[in-house]
Amino acid sequence: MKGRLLALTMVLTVVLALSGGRARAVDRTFAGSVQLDYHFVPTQRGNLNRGEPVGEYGLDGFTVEAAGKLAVDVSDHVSANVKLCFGCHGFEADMAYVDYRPLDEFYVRAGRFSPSFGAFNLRHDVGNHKLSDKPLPYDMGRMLRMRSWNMGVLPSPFPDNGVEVGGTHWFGESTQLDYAAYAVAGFRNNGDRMTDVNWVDSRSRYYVDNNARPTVGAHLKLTQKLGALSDVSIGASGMYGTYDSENDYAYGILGGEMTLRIQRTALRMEYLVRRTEFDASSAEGFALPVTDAKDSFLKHGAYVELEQPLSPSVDLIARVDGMYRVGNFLTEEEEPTPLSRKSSILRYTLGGSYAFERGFRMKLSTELWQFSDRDDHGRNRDVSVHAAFVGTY
Amino acid sequence: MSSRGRCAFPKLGGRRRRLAFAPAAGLGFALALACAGHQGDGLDPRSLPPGVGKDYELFAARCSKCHSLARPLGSGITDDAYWAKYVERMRRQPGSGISPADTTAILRFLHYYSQEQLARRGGE
Repeated sequence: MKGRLLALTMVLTVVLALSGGRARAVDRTFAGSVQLDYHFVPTQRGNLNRGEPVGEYGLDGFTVEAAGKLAVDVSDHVSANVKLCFGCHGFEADMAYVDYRPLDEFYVRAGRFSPSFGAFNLRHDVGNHKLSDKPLPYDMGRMLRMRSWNMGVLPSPFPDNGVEVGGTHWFGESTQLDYAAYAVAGFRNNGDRMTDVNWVDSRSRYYVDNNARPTVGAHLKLTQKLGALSDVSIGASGMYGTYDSENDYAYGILGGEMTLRIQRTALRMEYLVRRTEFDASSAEGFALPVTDAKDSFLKHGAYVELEQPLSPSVDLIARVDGMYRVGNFLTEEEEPTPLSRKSSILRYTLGGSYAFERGFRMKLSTELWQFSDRDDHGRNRDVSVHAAFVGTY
Repeated sequence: MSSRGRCAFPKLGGRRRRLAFAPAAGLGFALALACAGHQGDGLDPRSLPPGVGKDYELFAARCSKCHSLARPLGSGITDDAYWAKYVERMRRQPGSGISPADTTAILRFLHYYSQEQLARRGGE
């Protein structure tokens, strides 16, 4: 009975949404991007994974990322978005959702989407950020030592199945408030031992939730205009859920963001921290002594980035980002994980972007990495270079 | 298990050092091209008629916050009603900074740009 009532309510909602304010025609917008990046790590003799499984320390050489997005305005209040990506994971659905937005202050989004968290995710498409790589807290495969660190704090994008409600409100002409709250399936680990979120499990078999408890979260952002061509935004985000099938091990992520725009100059900074509980009932494999059956580690991440246009076709970008991990971790006697109880990464990036023509850009950057721990080759500093071409349409 | 080192630039061989600094050289080359008058993603405000330049500057500042200007300028849209919906969708993005009053100036510029595009296509 309850199920029928819910189904009837949903059907009525869709019918009401479609009947009110019908658009003149169904409007479609298609957009996309393609990036080819070459990642070269000269300090690792130009072969990052020599003698190790591919991707053990990161992805070097050529990588391609492509995406195509179709946005359809079904009516004045209903729109649908589908975005397909092709990259290191093959083809994936980055977006497949429907928005019902009767007014600025209220929308309902249902389907597959990246829930509102932080500022960077809105620009995660390769056509929308001007360095080849993402900031470390949001990094995936392009970070060095990606396996031992298990990538960033919240690897971006993070599409998931669920529902989000939110809106935006303008106080006069100078202050904008954005808010959103969501419930999504959440990150997963389908293995036998719960030691961290498994990002592969989280993105593969995306139609199956490993536990019935949704991950919930919210995002709040305030934007204040400072002048006709400048503004400042500050925001806060939070996400909480469990990642195992028994709902025994939880993760919680908090984030803070600030963006200052003065004409075309942008100063961006974000801070994220994730607390992850893990199974410490057996000391086997852990690098540090185990005291309780359940333990947790903290992973902090932050970046500060300055983007300065030098001319209509050249942008200069300087970024400092890093991560700091505190807690126990798995290791092996033969090949010790290059971590310790407190480990850190600091990265300095200087890069530029040059638009040959509208829609075709070159990205160049050099990164200096500084790790608190030495790797198998005895290194704790590395230099890496990115050279990429990106096209948008 | 771990050891900590002071921050210092890693020692690289001559060939690898050249490769590591190739992006800087590339950027310098790009800058030289840019100084030669290359246009890039956007438009040159000086090439726009009086009155349009100010609208363009607002458009360029607001609409490059989350994406490059190639997105709207290369979209091929020339219909005012379509632009109105497009800008409305962007205005509602978190932190867009596009106030309801800003849309008037942005749409005024996009109307001008659309007419230019249509005239150019007609002339081809």
